[in-house]
Amino acid sequence: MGREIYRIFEDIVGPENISDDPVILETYSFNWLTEFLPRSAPSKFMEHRPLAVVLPGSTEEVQKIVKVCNAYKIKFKALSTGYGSHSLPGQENVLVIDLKRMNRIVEIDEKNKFAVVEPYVVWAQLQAEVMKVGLFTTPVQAGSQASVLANLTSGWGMNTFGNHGGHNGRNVLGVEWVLPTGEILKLGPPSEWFTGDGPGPSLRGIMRGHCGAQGGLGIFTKVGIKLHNWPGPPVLETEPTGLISAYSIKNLPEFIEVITPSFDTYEDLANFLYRAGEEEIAYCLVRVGSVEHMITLAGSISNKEIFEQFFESGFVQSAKELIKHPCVAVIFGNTEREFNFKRKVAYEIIEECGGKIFPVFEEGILKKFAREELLVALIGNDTHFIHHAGGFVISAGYMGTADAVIRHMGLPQERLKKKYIERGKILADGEDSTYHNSFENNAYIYMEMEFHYDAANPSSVEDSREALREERETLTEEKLGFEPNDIALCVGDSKMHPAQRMIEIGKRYGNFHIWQEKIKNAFDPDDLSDRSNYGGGIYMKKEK
Amino acid sequence: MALEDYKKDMMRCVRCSVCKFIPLSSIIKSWRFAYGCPSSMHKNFHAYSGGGKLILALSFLEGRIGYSPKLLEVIYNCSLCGMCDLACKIGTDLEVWEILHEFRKRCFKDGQAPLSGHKPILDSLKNYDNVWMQPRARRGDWAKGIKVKDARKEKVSVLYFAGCTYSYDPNLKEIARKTLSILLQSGVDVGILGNEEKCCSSPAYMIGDEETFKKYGEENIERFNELGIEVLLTSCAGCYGLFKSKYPRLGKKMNFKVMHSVEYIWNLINEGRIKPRKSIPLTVTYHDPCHLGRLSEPRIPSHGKERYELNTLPIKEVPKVLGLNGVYDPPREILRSIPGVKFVEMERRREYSFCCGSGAGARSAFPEFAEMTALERLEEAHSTGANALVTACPWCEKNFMDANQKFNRDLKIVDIIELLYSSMGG
Repeated sequence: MGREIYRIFEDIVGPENISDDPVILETYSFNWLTEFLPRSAPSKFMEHRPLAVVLPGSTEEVQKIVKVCNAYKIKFKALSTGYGSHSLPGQENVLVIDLKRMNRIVEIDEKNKFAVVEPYVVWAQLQAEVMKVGLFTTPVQAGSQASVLANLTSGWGMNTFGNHGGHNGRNVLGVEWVLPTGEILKLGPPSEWFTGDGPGPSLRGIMRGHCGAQGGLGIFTKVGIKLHNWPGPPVLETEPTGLISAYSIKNLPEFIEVITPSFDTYEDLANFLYRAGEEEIAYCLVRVGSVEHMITLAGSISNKEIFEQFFESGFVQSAKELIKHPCVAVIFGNTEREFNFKRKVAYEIIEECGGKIFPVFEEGILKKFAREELLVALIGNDTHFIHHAGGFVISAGYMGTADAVIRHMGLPQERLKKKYIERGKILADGEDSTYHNSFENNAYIYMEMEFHYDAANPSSVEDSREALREERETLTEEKLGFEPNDIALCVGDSKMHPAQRMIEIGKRYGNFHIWQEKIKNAFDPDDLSDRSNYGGGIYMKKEK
Repeated sequence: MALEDYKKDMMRCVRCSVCKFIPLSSIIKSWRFAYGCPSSMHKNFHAYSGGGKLILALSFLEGRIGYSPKLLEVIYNCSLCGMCDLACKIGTDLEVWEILHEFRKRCFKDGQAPLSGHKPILDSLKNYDNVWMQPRARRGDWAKGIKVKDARKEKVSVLYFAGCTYSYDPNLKEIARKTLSILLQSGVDVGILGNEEKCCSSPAYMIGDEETFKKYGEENIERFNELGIEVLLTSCAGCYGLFKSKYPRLGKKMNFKVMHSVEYIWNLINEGRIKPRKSIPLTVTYHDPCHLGRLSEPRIPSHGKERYELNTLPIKEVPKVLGLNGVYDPPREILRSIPGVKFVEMERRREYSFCCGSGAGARSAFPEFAEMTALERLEEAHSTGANALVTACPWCEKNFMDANQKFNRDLKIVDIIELLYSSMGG
């Protein structure tokens, strides 16, 4: 970047908040999944370093930066906590706008049940504050230290408590949005944050769509988020247990229970999910895959302990006899009466649908794990327990009904996973590692399958890439829909960028990429907000 | 042992940003005190976080970046407090702390370190056997007037090791005197080394000067073994952490038990040999020094040795250390045993305590980092409603005292021994 332009940015944010030193830039060239991106030689690093990194401290500074970018035709990419390759610039000569300094909770409105936050407020921070006033915020599936705003506005919006609280795309109550042109747009009512739609036509669908624009449509500087009832203590107290998750919660909410049933067939599980939805009994309704999969996701114990305690000991083998299709339901009650009612209904439905409570979770250390430690992970949303093999990637996810999800899981995915496990380069965590969340009382489910690989082993990376490519092709051949998200797409082909892949998929699925392109052109006529992870991205021009 | 050993761990970082925060949301109590990494709080760019430094180490090994003033500044603008390591280990087996330390060792080996701010420390160590450029002949002066056994001449079961800071710092040497007095009053068979005591070499180790660490470490172990002591006792958390956690890496047999004075004295209270009687009407909070807490557990580095099970599950034979076995309860129990003292906890405590900012050469080379980190902790202490911030480490105390004065914070900085001594009528 030329010194003259650098100084203009420096005047906006101050000298300590801008850098174009290679040492600083290098750390914005590496991320989860970068090893899968197309390049001439295998590497964990992107092919291009950013032009520079700036750290604005306010919406005003963000707006000034974007206006300078417009004046000098500089492309820019904003990120917050930045987990994943989609957080990085996907092309050359991009200015990174790291929003780390914008980390304030602007408002918590207890009466109207909403909060307003800046980009770098992570879920754990917001949750800690809203719990104090008896409220709960739906988790961010990327983990408790991931940005709330990014999940709501720019990412996928998945969360584990969506059965009660809904998909996070639907928990947005207005945004403050610095458009790619530098104008500021406020969605929602002019001075309040109680609805995501203001007077006139709603722009929510354009603002985030299904998967978010991943930074391709400007920068969100504030978001209003809907809050839900929290029938638990204002502050959680933990204690070390030294067991699977290292900690358990001392002051568990009085009226809470984790129920862990297993069903012999997926159809039985699906029936349970439908029935649980109809009866509106669960805050959280989650399906985790095979026994092996559950165990390899275990908390903070070491890999050695995981292997010795559960695999070498024969535990997994015996548990597999009993646990076929497991599910985790969290039952909350505001009162004892409500809790007892929901609990009774839950157990009746389990029986009705042919389910059994996992016997192995009723004894010994696993009882403590299932009853208490699991809650640390679920209530605490601490999903960073999933890195045991070093790397993981998800299949092309799918959102639909339980019946539709069965077809996805049974048809290509389990078969496919088994084949790749036998090849020995991905984690042998059982052929069924399909995880899913129910949303809005099981009105719909989001599912994905995990492939755990070793990021330090090129052949493991390559096999994961191949497995995902094959999975996507099978889904397409068998006319099963899938979520066109760039995570699954980016691992599909070493020569093809995820955005190119998005065009291929768009052609088969209603030409959504063309509609995204129209939105992009309308909001960003000079193409400055890095579009590498939005729609057809930089490849759309070639497409024309 | 080399930086290269950990290349696989570097590649397994997923850049999730957990290393910047307290790792578990159920441990985070507020928006305000959710961060765990002082470097990342101070400088904001990702490079300064634990994960950022892993990326830089990988980049360095791959020849993408070389030495530069900025690289050295990023590597050393950090107190090696270990919070990032703990945060990452909640979900992984990655050895973040070892990588950060190996990176420093590489800088040293390649002649890029010591930095100008660290040079006086190492020169002093080599010339005077202490880090404060004070003559050897005055090392034992802190104990003048106290009738205590000379461990060089008489066999003792407990050797009290004052450490450089308690020996020489005029504002802190009283702590060593009072500790010794408490031990003697309780009838402990204790002795000191006087002018023959030498630095533990923690500053050298943390800066990356392996050779100096080895020299002092081996000499000290040999000397302690020769004395035939049962317990090596110190009030300095820095010395304690090194003796307990890092000396075993030298591979020499240590025929003595390492204890911090708070552990030993809590035992004495339990045995009824010490009775705090006088009421001290003070609301206090306690700061867990990193080297008495999460960094005090012996850690065996894997040196990258691992095998695979279940196809791709990397298994290291070394135990995973989450800092759960640091010295956390004895200081709290001592405070609770003092009449009149009201003890309140900070949000970031025990193994996820926030660093004071002084350690690993950070205060010497980057004083602003040390000040701002101490200020962050003072504000947390203040938020509890405490009048006093109590700790058990001279480095933390010194750093807090300076920040308290500079930023006009109205908080007493008190060593736990001082408080106990007053309550005993001292």
